[in-house]
Amino acid sequence: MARPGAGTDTPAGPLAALVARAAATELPSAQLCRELAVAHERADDPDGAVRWALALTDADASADAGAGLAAWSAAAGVLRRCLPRTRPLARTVGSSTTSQLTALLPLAAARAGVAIETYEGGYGQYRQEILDPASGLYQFRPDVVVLAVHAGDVALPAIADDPEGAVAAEVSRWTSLWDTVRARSGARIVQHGFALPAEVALGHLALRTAGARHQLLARVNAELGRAASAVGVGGGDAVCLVDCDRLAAGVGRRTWFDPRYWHRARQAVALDCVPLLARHTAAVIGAQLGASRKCLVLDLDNTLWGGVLGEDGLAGLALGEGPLGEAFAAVQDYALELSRRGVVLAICSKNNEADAREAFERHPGMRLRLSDIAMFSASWDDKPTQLRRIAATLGLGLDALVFVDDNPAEREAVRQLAGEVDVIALPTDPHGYLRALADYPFFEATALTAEDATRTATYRARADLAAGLAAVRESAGSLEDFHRGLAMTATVVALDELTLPRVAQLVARTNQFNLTGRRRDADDLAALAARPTTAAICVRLADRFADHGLVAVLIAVVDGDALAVDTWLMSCRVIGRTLEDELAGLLLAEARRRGLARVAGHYRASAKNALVAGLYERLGFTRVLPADADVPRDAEVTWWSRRVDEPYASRNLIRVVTADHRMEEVLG
Amino acid sequence: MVQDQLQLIFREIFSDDDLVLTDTMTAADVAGWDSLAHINLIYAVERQFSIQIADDRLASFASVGDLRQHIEELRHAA
Repeated sequence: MARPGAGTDTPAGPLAALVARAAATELPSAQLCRELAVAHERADDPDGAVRWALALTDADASADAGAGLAAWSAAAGVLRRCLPRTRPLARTVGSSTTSQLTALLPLAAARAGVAIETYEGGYGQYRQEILDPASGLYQFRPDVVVLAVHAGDVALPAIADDPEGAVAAEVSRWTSLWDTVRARSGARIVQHGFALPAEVALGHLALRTAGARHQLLARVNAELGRAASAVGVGGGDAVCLVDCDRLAAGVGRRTWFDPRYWHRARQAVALDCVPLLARHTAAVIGAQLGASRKCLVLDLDNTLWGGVLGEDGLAGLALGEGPLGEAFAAVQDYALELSRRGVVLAICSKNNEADAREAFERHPGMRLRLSDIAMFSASWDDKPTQLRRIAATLGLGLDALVFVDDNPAEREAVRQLAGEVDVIALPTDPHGYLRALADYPFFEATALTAEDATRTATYRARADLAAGLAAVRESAGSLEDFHRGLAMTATVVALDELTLPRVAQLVARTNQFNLTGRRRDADDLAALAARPTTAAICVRLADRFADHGLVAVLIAVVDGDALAVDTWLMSCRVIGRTLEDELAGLLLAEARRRGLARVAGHYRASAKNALVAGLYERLGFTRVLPADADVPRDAEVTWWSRRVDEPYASRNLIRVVTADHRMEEVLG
Repeated sequence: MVQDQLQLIFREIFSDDDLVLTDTMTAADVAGWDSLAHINLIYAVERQFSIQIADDRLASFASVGDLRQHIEELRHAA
């Protein structure tokens, strides 16, 4: 998370006092975060308010017990006012009181990287909502349905005569609800798995009793998981489960369920635990919507081994042997497990690279091998610089990275200077490292594929490609050859229901290559694309190394004699590939096909898009005054125009094909 | 002391940092004080002051002063 307050102007008055208090500690308490969020909101700084509201979700709630739910609720209120949303929409339906969860989910989801709005179904109405085609659930057309149910909803007797049949019947009752939602709305589903109760009348005998409810509940969880993995095509992310039993066991089942509040107000999850449940539900929603983090970046000294390599030498490291050495070995084993489930590993260390690599090759206690690391960055550059290099080399955004370092000063530097990177604050005791890693929820994935186990290798190939590119750049002049060697193919696709989620994601998240900065949501985009006066050009890019997927969006609307750019953006994965030149060519051709005289564009400067400030000029556009006299002569916006009859030569480094029949004519 | 902490809880629950508690205040005086907010409030009070409010008192607080008094009694008894 970005350290809130970084880069903002010096605030005055009470806000300054709060900021000073926050600066005195690495992780301000939830209470302080709440006060800061509110103070920023009052100072008309919604960005600052949102940053602190999000920071609150990472604050250690146990440090000020009782502040948890109330502080989260307050922060959720700040977010709602400062970052209003209408889409994507999540509807919670359940059998108990889900109001608190519903209220906290937008905050938790924003922390997970997706901005969502939530609505709560009628109290206890989950079956009716799903089964009645005219229910509020379907009227709201949600993107995600959260089935917030609990063990009390499972119809199992204390001891079942036919355990197999009882489990099968229960599982099919749930899967038929999923099928109904899927058939009627296409919404994704997130279901809460069932937390086993702490109280078991059968006692230890339950383990020896095949039909014991306690046993069957665990089997229902497992069978639901199996059924969910079979729903949907391809990625199979249509139905995901939140493993509430694991969460309950983690905090203690007697903390998870509080009979007083169950009997008072049908709180199936103790209010203390609702923020935790919201965080994990949001992590799963985030994974469904494609917002999970991808890469774990590890420090070396005192993070992967005990001691400082440059001072203690290879023989002086604590690793593998002794209590401390075992703690570091356990961290390495855990990182390896993450790697096998698809998290890309990178190293970011201040060390001599040769020495650091030698430790990997020669230290007998090392669990991680050099081949497990996609990018090995060891140098004396500061860590924010190294992280930027890692992200660029792997073709990832900084917002895909999660940084782990034992040194609070390094963590702070990253929060300040590379704020998009998530930072895991390790505790001082290495025995607590693994748990700190495991508590981080935003590596969540919706499915495990064969590709996951080899993802680091794929990214290493990408790093090698980047190294090749750098070498080519040094031997000046042959960049074109290099591009040609990539055998790039751009495929034009329509903006339709298939591509809309990805396009909406790009529109929501692209900052660098973004000319106009318009943040249209999915509904808005769909409505715009449906108009005949709109030209929407979406492009997938593949090369001989990788299919980068849908990476560019150009939406333009007819405005008088011009086709005017509304939205033009490209994923940072493909910047520097000359794809923008092809897009400009497509846009000009489309304007020509429509019989228009020119293409108009504008550039709105933001904090991050300086990269494209000169794009129109480079593509042969002429700077003009805004056509509409009502448009304010905003210093941050420049206006551009290019006639379609002036010749345009693209660089022809990318083969352009179309899967969008409407564009066939354009491509000729 | 109890009054200050109580005011902080109210400000959080009702997302209103200008809220100033008085003993005569009732649910009718605070925007958003519905049954859900009431449960959130009782929960936050119980956690903050490490007390357990009896079920039969849950719905019977006539005013903020009444609630504050009850908190003080329970704390005194502890």
